Amino acid sequence: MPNAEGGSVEDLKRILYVEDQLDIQMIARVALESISHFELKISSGGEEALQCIEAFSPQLLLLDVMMPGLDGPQTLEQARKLPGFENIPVIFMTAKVLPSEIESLMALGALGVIQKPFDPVSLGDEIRALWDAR
Amino acid sequence: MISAKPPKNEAARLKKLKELNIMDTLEEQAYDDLTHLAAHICDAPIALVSLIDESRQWFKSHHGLDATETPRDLAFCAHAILQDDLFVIEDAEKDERFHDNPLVKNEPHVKFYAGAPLVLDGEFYIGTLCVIDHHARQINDEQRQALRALSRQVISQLELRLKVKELKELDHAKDEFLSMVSHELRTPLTSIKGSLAVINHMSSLLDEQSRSMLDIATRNSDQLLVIVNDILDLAKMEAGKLDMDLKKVDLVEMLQQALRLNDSYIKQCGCRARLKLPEGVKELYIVADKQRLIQVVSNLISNAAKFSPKDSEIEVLLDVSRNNVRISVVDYGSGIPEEYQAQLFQKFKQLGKTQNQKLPGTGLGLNICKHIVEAHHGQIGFESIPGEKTIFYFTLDLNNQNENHS
Repeated sequence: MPNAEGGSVEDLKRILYVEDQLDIQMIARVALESISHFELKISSGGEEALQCIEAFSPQLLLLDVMMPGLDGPQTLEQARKLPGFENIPVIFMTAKVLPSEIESLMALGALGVIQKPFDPVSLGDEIRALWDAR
Repeated sequence: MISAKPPKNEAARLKKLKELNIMDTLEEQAYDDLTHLAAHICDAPIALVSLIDESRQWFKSHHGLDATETPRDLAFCAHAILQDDLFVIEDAEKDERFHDNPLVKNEPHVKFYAGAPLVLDGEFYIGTLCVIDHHARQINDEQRQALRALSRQVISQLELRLKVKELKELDHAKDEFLSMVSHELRTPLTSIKGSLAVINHMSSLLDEQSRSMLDIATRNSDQLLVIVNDILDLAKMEAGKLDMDLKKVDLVEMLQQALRLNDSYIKQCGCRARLKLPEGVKELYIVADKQRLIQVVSNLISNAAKFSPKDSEIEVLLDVSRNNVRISVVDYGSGIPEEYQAQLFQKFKQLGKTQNQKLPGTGLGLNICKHIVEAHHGQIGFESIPGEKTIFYFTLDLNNQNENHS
């Protein structure tokens, strides 16, 4: 199942990361695959992510916020309309750091907001900590 | 009765009035003072600041009259805004434009009227300052002068209102711009810092020269991020929008955390740091914004490290008196030359190159510290003994701490 309802202890493996910046994609790939050993799929935009989300069946969405086309919150809204993904956990990664901006993202039900620049060496641990604290 | 025609530039005039965003707003002392004065000087029971929109005249201030608006086609002021100077009707009952006007025949029985047009930008006649009496009479030259003078004061108020509105809009645009710049700078910084961190993670593969180049790039990208954050912070502080997250904070733990954060920088500068607490104090709670206090102490520590001679010690002191706590950071460097002392807390002021051999700063650090300490109602200062030592300190009030004891 794509979401972990009822407090079951499910290890986090499959992450779908949506990010339009190719350089940041590549760094995140090193961080989350080579360093943290997640099964990672990266989409360059919200539309692309929505096309592959059902086949990949991620346990967690990792979303950039400002993207051309669907932005992070819009991508989340669309994803939650898909059967089985109504409650998919989400973490935002953003360069927007004003407290008001972070609050509005948390209000969408995010597990957390990771600020850019992020540290690729500890990114996986940060995501696991947010996952475990669900 | 003859209703007034609209002025020639009616559309532009209405646009200007809309821009003021004043119709149906609350009463304001400044306008009420002026109508009060106008009534007094002209010896009239009623004085109004009347503004005329498409269908009505609305009163920003109404002295001696309960009504707040009347239809435009009945308004004396609608005639007054067609004049360049005072519009005076000494006896409305003898004037064909007004003799059968309901405002003349019934309440409020306007018999005498004198109105000075309110003109913005020399062309937009948006309303009047007027006085009204219940019987036919005249207005003398001095009163005419006074009414004109007071109408100019009303115009000044209106112009001020436009200016404030404009500044608010500019301020908002500045915030948006800063938020955008911060985002645009962070995105490439994420790539630079991210790839450097990954290389650092695998640095066993590098020779010594590559590793030192990597160190330089890492340090400088860190510095760049500090600058981006500082500029964003400063912008928020100057706009008075510093978000304070006030909670119970253990100052001892806060100081330890600030020291830990600067551990590697202190080592890099070749010095040591020591925390000195008052006898028997293991914890000390105060209501404050912990992250902001760490930012202040961290800034003072890194400054101290920057100006400390090799192998010297930086002291971080916590002193408690009855009413306040004082946190000091002491370095045994060469002190601050007198000519720099006066401008230390100003933004973008830094010591000259000869005084500052190590990492360059942004010149914003101490200015930000001052903002943060003052936001906590504390004071920041320093004492410097040339050739011996420098003490930077700030105080925090222990009174007015509602949630202090729990």
